[in-house]
Amino acid sequence: MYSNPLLKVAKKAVINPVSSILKRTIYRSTIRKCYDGGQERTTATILNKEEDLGLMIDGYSEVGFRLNNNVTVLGSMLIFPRSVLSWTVDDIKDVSDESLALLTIIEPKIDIIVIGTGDKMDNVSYSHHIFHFLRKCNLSVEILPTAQACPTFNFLNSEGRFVVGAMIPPKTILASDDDILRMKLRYQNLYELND
Amino acid sequence: MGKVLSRVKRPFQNFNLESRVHKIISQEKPVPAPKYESVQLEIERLMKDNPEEFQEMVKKNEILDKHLKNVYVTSKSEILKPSGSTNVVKPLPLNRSSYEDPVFGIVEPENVPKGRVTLPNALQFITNHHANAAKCSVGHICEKYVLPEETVRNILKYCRTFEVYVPQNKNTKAKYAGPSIRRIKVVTRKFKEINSGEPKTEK
Repeated sequence: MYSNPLLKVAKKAVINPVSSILKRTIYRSTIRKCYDGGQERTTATILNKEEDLGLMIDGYSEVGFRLNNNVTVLGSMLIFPRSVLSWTVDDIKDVSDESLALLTIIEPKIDIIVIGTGDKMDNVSYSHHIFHFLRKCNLSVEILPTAQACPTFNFLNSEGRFVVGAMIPPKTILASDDDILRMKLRYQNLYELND
Repeated sequence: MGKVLSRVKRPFQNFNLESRVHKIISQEKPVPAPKYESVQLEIERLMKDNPEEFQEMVKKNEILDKHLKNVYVTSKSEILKPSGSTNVVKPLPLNRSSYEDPVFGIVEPENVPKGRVTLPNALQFITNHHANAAKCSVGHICEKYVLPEETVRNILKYCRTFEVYVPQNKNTKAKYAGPSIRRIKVVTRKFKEINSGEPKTEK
């Protein structure tokens, strides 16, 4: 009916009030309230990249851990605020009074022990003995799957607590596409064909 | 009405005001205001009754003037010393060096109770034992750090220091350093996928 665009505008002008036509034709831009020209920017700091906060775990795999000082650790480990020891424990069922002996005699007393159990386990009967033993030694403990234990250790360490992580590498890893891409970026050149 | 009158009067009042004021200000000694007539009469009566005392009052008294010249105002104040520095029992700190982070992340205790060991010492004896078991034996460790033998054996059984391997050619990207045949495989979750196009027909 109104094939001419001018006619369309004319029809609108008749039907709509003037203000609504102005709104449609004039491009408006408002200053966003959340950003005030760089005065107070929101910043994020990555704990693992702060060198003076101590040793932290950057990643884990089924064979070991990568720390934030560019060291890859193979196997289970006992990680202290600024030092790391190998721990000859393969499975959470091997964690006993004997394998935790070092932690019970360290002076000053350890604030908290974070035990990474490896995989998430439905049967938590193994934890009763660990809890009982460490309570007898007046030590507090946190038992978590390694995936959760690593960030817990990092955070507690960044707070400056005397935290010890007893980490066992997990046996199965649910890797996302992002994880696989990051791994490839680290170990090979993405744009080179693999032989 | 009064306002109108004062408006008329004011210019005449203020006529040549500035120069008249300057004339009075520029005088060397101000002329005293005249006294009341009654006061003036009384002063004259006193002068007539006792002229000597009156003359003496007007004259300058040399002795009193001399006394006045000898009067001086001086002030003495003691400088207070800070009371804290003299306290021998609790002296103020003299070391002003900045605080340094301890090497192992924790402040080492001065006194270690029997049966316990500091982290650096523990790391030391673990390293030494695995480097040379004969030289740094279990008995030797027990004796040196006053630890129960059973605990030391367990520590040495379960805790070891790492052997460090540095790749020879550092220019290459990091190589996978795990076992060549993986004992565990990475599991990827299978999610349900949305079919593209027609729904499946049951057969």
